[in-house]
Amino acid sequence: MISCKALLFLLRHIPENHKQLVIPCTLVLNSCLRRSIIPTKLTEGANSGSTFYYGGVTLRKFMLLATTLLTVQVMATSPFLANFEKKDVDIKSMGTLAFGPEGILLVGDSIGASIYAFDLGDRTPAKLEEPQRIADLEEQLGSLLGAPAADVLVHSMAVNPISMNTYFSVSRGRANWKSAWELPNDISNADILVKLTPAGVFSEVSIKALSHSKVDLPNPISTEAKHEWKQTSPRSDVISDMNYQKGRLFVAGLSNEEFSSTLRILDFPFKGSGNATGVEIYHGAHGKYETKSPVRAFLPYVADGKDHILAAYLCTPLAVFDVDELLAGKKVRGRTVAELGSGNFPTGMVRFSKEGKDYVLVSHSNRNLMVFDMDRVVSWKEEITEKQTKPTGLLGTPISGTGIRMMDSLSNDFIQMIARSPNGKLELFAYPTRRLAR
Amino acid sequence: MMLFALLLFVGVQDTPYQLTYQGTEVSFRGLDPDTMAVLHRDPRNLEFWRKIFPVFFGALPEPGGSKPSILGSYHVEEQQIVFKPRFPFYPGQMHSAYFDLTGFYRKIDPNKTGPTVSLDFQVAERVLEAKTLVAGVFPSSNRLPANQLKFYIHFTQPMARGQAYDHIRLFEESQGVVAGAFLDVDPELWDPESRRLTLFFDPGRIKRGLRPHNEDGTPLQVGRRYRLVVDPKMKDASGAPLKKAYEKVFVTGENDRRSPNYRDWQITVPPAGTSAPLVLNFAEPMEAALAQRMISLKTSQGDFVRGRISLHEGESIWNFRPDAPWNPGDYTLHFDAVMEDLAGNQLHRLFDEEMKGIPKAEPMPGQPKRSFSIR
Repeated sequence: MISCKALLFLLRHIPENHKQLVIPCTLVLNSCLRRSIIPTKLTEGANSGSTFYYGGVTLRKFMLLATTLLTVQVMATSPFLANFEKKDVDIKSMGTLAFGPEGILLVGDSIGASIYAFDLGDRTPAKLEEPQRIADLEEQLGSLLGAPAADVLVHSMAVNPISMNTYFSVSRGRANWKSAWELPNDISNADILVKLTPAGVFSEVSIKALSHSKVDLPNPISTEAKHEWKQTSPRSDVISDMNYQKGRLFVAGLSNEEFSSTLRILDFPFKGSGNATGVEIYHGAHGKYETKSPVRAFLPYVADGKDHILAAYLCTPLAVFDVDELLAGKKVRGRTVAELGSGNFPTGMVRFSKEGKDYVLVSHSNRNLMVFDMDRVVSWKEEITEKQTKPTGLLGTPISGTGIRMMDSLSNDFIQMIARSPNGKLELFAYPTRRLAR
Repeated sequence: MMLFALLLFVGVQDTPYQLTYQGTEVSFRGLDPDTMAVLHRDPRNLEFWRKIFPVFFGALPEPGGSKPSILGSYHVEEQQIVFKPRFPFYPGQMHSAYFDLTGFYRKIDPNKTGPTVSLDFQVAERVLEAKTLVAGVFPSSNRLPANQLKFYIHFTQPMARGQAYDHIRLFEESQGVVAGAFLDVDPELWDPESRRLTLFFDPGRIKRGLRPHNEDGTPLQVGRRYRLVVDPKMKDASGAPLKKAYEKVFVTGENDRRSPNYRDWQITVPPAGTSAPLVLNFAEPMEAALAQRMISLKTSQGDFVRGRISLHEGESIWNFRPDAPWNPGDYTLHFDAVMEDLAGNQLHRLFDEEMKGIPKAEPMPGQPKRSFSIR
């Protein structure tokens, strides 16, 4: 007979909301076949997506046995997963990743102009012993993709705050890079989702096998549009950044409206296509209003009891938006609070807390890391309305660390980052927050 | 390390086992029929096979190394286990694989054991079909002024960037290659589709009085015979070479230091009610790209007349075929003053003007235009 311990172990690994209950054959084979309690009839590929052998045993018989031994609540379906279904996935590009609640992975597909929410079933809490460092991430991913590091593109990275597994959307194709202005999403469509465990094990996540929900974004910028001087297709920026907060998904990107720069606010779980507002800001470094360039990185925050968004743009203004105004209007002008300098690309924005104080960390292609005291962001009332020739306004504290390509919170003590190191390798490492707020 | 490799990795020839690369997959053969029968009943999962039968990009990992194996799927076929990669094996690169029979039998049949069989395999370079040609070069004339300013080289397919100056050469008939004839600009001057390259003769060598001119002389000399050669090694955007080399032979005339005189251009007026072309004879070749977009035709009401433009006779004839038959009336041809002849001379300005003292301020000349009537 199967032991209670083994059964508990198995049950813990069953995805909570799976209607068709299937468990990976490794578990079944290891724990059950040896004990000869289940006939060795395998269903092929049920949990595998494409062509992988991923033999699984239907759980019905197994559950009958299990319930006689223990009363276990397995199918407590989360309200966030209520409208999730296991059906075909027609995703064109996995350009932007972010985590929603309960380990739900949100994937922004700019080319397909839609957002997917995938139930990864990745909800086993982990404690971080020692954050990992990967000296050559592209080489490791290249080993998976069967390609040299020089042909690997990392499009996006998100850390599951529950399990601390890191997810990357990747593709082959960096060899086709033509100009410094091209971002990974301009060069190829991210077609592979890779998981990296805190123990350093890489594997592919087959999205075809995952239960999901999807929302289409109305009025995305046309596939025909061309950037006037970069010669890139702005379509890859329909979704330039995403942030989930308290039942809402905030999405920055480009639409085909007059102000193509757009902030969208969607309910999550998805209920319709939400609200889309064209946004403009005064770009002090350029001395003009900016309506075409998308918000590159942003964070929702609360000031005076009201929801706001702190947004960073290329070249590098910081602006704030009032969420109530975004919900009410078709076009909204943000308040420019800082110019952080020209020739720079803001690459990420994360929040962290230290000794009861909140901070925002902004990473850049061509500036130091910058730490902003949240109290200062909240109380900053000034606005830039005239042409500026040097960094000005709400300036953060510069912290060592440049060329950061991507970052995400790993824990309250660490922020995981990817940067091109001076030796040319793309390195993954964790930055201790104690070194950011001192 | 070597010893370790020798002990563990037994060569394929010493065993009944065969690990083989077959272009799109890697297969393992040699398991006994009973074991194959077990696998057919229970083909095992991906995780099992990635441990037992990993395939790697590049060399096998060091023992204890963390190199992930290539993504793909494993299939138990009649007498073999087949690995199919998620993406095609990377052209021109070394790959490797092993099959760990010890680990395999530990899970399948603990009474049996076996060696680790390994394989290195080289994937062939991608064979690229050469299909791209030089479609043409402007100016098309074979007689050019000695102070010719630029060439446009048109290709039949998009080209790779960053290699033009390695593959395009100018030869003088008796003295061979003309070094430094073209201005090496970075980035190269391609149109957005990467099908047209603009190749400038070094303007510093053409303009008199400048240091490159004084030290190196002009790239082209009066009254000589030259060959512009595009080497077939020049790669298109797919990485394939050109189908064949291209050569343009031309002779040089005198330097051209006169602005094109639009007032003298001969206009051949078509009869009303026909769609016969309006013909403008420049009497000298004009810069092709500019001549195609810097001349417009308007009616006396100021409306643009729509039609198709073509250039002929070494770009010395401009031909306009209207979309609709000509209506009788007065028409005006508007010329953009920055149209150029082959030496870069614009309608109101020379490319290489001799400066004698401080030039006097002259009134801005008006927009160049010519009027005519169709009856």
